[in-house]
Amino acid sequence: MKAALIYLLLVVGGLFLGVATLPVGALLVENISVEGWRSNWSIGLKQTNPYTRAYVSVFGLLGLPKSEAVYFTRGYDDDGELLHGDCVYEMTGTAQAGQWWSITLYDRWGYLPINNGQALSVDATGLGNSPDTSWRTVISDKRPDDGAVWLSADAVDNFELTLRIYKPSAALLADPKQAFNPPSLKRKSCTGE
Amino acid sequence: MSWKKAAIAILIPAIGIHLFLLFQTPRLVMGQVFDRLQADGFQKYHFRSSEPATPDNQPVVRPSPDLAYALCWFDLSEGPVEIRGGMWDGYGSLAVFNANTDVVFFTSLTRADAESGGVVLAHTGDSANVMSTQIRQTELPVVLLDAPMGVALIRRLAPTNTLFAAARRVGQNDVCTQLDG
Repeated sequence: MKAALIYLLLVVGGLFLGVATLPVGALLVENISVEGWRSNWSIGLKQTNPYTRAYVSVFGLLGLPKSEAVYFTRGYDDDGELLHGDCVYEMTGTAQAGQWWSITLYDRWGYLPINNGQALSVDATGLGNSPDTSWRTVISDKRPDDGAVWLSADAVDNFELTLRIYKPSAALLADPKQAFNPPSLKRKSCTGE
Repeated sequence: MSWKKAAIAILIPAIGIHLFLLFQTPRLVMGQVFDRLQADGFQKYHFRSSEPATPDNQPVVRPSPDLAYALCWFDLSEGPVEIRGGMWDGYGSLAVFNANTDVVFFTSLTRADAESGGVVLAHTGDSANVMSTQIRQTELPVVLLDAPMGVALIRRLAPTNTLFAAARRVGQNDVCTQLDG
C-alpha cells in the first residue's frame, strides 16, 4: 500500500513536471529582437517545430503570414524597465518598411485597456509613412497638454505595445535587423518620482 | 524502491503529458474557438462582420482597432463550401485556417492585386466529388482539408469610422456557402 502511494505521488509529480517544462520550450521558438521590439516570423505558417506551433497557436492565433503582416511587441522602455501606466513615455519613430503600420497599446493580458480615451492606437494614416516621416507620441494616463499625439495608458498597470506592419517590404523580411526602424521609447517620469 | 523505478515513474508520465499537450495545443486552442463561436451564436456557412475593436468589444486577444473583420466557420463533413470575399480598395485578405490552426489557403482581397478572392474547400474524403459541375462553375481553386472543421477570416484595413462602415458594406458581398458535392 505504501509503495503504491509512493508510485502514485511520483506519477503525479511527473505529470506536473511535464506540464511545467512546456514554457521552457518557448526558448526553442525563434524570436526576432531589434532594440526591444520582438517578433516571430512563424505566425501564420505551418511549422515543423512543435514548440513554435504551440507557441504561435496561443500567442498568434489566426495571425497573418509574414508576407502580409509582421507583428512586433514591446513591454519595456529603452532602459529595460517594464512599461507601466503610472509613467509618462515619449515614443518617437520614422517610416516603417511596409505599406502601412500601426502601434496599439494592450494590457499585460493582450487586451485593450478599459478606458474611454479613444487613444489606444496610432498609425501611418495619422503619423505618415513617407521616407521623410518623423513622428512623436506621448504615452500616459492623461492627454498631454502640449497637444502631442497621445496613446492612452489610463486604467492599465503593466502594458505592451504591438507594432503591425502590413505588406512588409522584401528587405524587411530578408533582414529585419537591418531594415526595421524600431521606434524609441523613453520614460520621462513616473507617479511618485 | 530503486532510483531507476522512481525515475521511470516520474519520467514516463512527464514525457507523455508534455508531448501530448505540445502536439495537441493547436487543436485544443481551435477547439475552444469553435466552442466560443457556437456559444456566441455564430451560424455556420455565414460571414459575420465584427464590430470595431474597442475596450468594450474584444472577443479575442490583441484585437486590432485598424481592421474590419468578418468570420465564417464551416464543417466539410457536411459537404464542400465556397468562400469568397468582396474586393476592397485598401489592404484586404481572406485566410482559411484548419482545425490545427494552420493557414491552408490565403488570397488577397485588394482590388489592385486581382487575385481569385475565393476558394472551394472540400474534405479529403470528398475528393471524388470535387469536380462537380457546381464546383467547376465557381472557377475557384479547390483545396482539400484532412480535418473537416475550420474558419475563414477576412480582414479589411479600415482605421477610420468612415472606412469601417464602407468595409461592412463591402462585406455584404462576402460568400460562405455550401455547395453540392
